[in-house]
Amino acid sequence: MITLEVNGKAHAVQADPATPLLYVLTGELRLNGAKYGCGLGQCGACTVLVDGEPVFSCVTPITVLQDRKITTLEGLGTPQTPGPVQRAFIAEQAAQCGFCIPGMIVRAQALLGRNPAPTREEIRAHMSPNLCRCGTHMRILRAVERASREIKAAK
Amino acid sequence: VVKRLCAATLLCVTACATQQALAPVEPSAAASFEAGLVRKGAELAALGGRALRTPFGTIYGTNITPEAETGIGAWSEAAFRRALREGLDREGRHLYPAFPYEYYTRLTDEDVGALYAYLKTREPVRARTPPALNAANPAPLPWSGEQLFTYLRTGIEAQHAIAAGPMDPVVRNLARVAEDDVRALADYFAALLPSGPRRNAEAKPDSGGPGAAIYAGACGTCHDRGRDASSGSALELAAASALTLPTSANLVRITLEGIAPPAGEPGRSMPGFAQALTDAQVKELMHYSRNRFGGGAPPWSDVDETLRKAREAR
Repeated sequence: MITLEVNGKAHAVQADPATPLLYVLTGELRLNGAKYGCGLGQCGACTVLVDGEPVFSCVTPITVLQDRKITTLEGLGTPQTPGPVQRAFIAEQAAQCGFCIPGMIVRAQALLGRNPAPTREEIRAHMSPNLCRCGTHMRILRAVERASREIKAAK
Repeated sequence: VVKRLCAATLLCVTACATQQALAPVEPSAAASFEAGLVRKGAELAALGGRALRTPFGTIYGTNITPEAETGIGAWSEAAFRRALREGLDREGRHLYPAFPYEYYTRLTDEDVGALYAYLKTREPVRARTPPALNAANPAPLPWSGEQLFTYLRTGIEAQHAIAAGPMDPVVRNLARVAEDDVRALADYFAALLPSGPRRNAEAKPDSGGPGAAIYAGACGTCHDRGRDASSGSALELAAASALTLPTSANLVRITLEGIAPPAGEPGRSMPGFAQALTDAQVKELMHYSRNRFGGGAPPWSDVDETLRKAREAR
């Protein structure tokens, strides 16, 4: 039995220790924010935060997550009260099909958590592991910049 | 200063041993050199030094820290003096033409002694060189000329290795040159490499434990048997040279950083696990992988140190 702390809440999980976190999030905990894209850590749709750092939940076995803080898209805000990064993605209409966007938001959150005012180059480099097949990259970049401005203004 | 000097001097081109070898010496204690002499050597060393760009490419120097096996730790002062005066290494092999010893022939004995004292009192650094392309090559399975060609031309060969790091631009270039030239290179190296398998390239049965669960959830999805390398998936680790090398450096590095082509370039990709895995978990995974896929090679003793350095370098 492994205890996972997800979005501040502890969950006792029965799954095999080698099970990727993504399967536990969607299958057991009904947290469907992180998406299954490739299953190989190549696309970023499944990105979540572990101790504030972005990881691919599809290739992260739950055995390595005991006593660590996991944050998913759901931990960043709700449909009624979205968080600043989520608000910025909505304001810039950064989603087309939307499948990559949860991973994009979570990865952007990790960057802004440690660098509230990144340059465009820093944003590009940081976001590069996450892929978008619709091609809304320019809106995604603008959304991250907008989130950065709003976080700064709120301080 | 030492790094600059290392990168610039004692450039070694291997030639036939035609001269007498000089006896190796025990590594000397730093205190056995007089401080003033060391200081003078530092000044002399600072006068040297830069990477040598030649029409054949940039030449990087060999290790002249006092490390016993890969540096000049076993060199007597007589051997050092002979290298500067006659362009021979301790074993009597020619360092010329790449090592410009003719510039040093007129150094006084005193200056040579000061340089020697300075270099011998530096921190020994063990040089890491790529796997030898000869009988000492650590690949678990023999390389055929066809396999070498595939590796050099495409960057991945299912039974051996994937090109990453400094090998990546090499493969990028070789993808653009005439196919016959790459074939000629491959045939040349194939003739140097051993022809029979020297290690068992089969994985051992899963031993269980914490490393096993990490491997299964983080690595096995791509690396387990049954995947096809040409489909963009990964090498079987039992065939990968990184698992059989004497140092864990390659596997630690690739585990933390993954493989990523330069921005905007096509290429192979593997996710890095620097954020997902704690140090203790990386160590579990390294020891588990070495034991299961290392073809019977002894356990790595350098994992803690290698991991600490790799984390610091991030």
